[in-house]
Amino acid sequence: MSVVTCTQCGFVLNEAMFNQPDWSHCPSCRSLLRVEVFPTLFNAPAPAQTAQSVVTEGEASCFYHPNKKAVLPCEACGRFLCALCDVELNGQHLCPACLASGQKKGKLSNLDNRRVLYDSLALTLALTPLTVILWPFSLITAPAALFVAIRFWRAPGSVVQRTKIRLILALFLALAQIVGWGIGFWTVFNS
Amino acid sequence: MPRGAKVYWRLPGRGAGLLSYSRLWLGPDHLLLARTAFFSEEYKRFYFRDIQAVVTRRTTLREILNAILAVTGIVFGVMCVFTTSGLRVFFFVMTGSVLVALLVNWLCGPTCVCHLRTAVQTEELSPLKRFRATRKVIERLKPKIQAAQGALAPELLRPRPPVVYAAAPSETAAQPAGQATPSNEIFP
Repeated sequence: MSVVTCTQCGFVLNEAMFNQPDWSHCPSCRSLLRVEVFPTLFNAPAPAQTAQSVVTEGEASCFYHPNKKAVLPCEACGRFLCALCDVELNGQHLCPACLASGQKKGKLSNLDNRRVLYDSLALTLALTPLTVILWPFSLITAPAALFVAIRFWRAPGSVVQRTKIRLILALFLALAQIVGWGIGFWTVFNS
Repeated sequence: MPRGAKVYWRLPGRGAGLLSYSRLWLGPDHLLLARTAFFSEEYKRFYFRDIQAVVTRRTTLREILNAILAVTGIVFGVMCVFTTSGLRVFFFVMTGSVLVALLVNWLCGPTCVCHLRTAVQTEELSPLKRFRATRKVIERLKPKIQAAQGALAPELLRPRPPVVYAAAPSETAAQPAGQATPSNEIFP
């Protein structure tokens, strides 16, 4: 069983403090604590996976380890995998190669640990020059906002639910600024 | 899952850093901690099947903030009373702002620090700064974790009796009578 420690002083907390409806004092530093524990805390760590060797001739073997017994196929490419090569993700069994390519292509959103928010970037570019002092910069930022909005329209945005409203707003504002500059230049040159 | 279906549900609490902020999201099989800085977002996932414990520690930040705001409010109030020029309006506005901040801080409730523990890490959930939000999050997490791990057997929460270690006769004599052996001390 793992132990739960006080987050202030690191003292190992007693089971009597677990899942109490009220605050408890840490016996060491007297900090007020509430500890919610779950069954996994009491489980023994799972034994490490080891791949079985091929026992009989003609038995299916792992694609990556020919001398190891295959236990299941990869759900993406169909290659036979031993217990060592099997990676379970979202209920799917994948081989390391499919996992790597899925992560590279951004198809496995559960493996993404960083995303660039192009919609926020485009909107900031479109909005910043609207302040009184920075408006001349819109000559540069408006086309930049338009470029970002169009170029990254299909790029994966935030993992959490986000609409395309920022991109639409950025497009609209950038276009309005470009049209404004166009009208301004046209008026100046014609007069 | 149909395209466009909602995968993540926003949980209460919001942590703000100097140039970033973080939020917690409830996913289908995990808790997502999203930290946004400028135009990028970083994620940490805690799968329900892996969560061992959530430890909440009460802090005194609310009381400290209250004291600072109260002193600042009193100072601005005194300045407001003793100033006769146009600065009086400024001090009046400042006093009002500080008092509103004080009221908001008081109404938001006690502050805390929340840590989530798995077998291999202990991570601070930075969005959970107020106990009210923390309690709501834990209440929403509990059924999901129980669904993934099963119910906790009550006998597991019973305090274990202290382990009595056989000591050499000389060591037994050296130990003063009535001194209990701490249950969480590790002996070779």
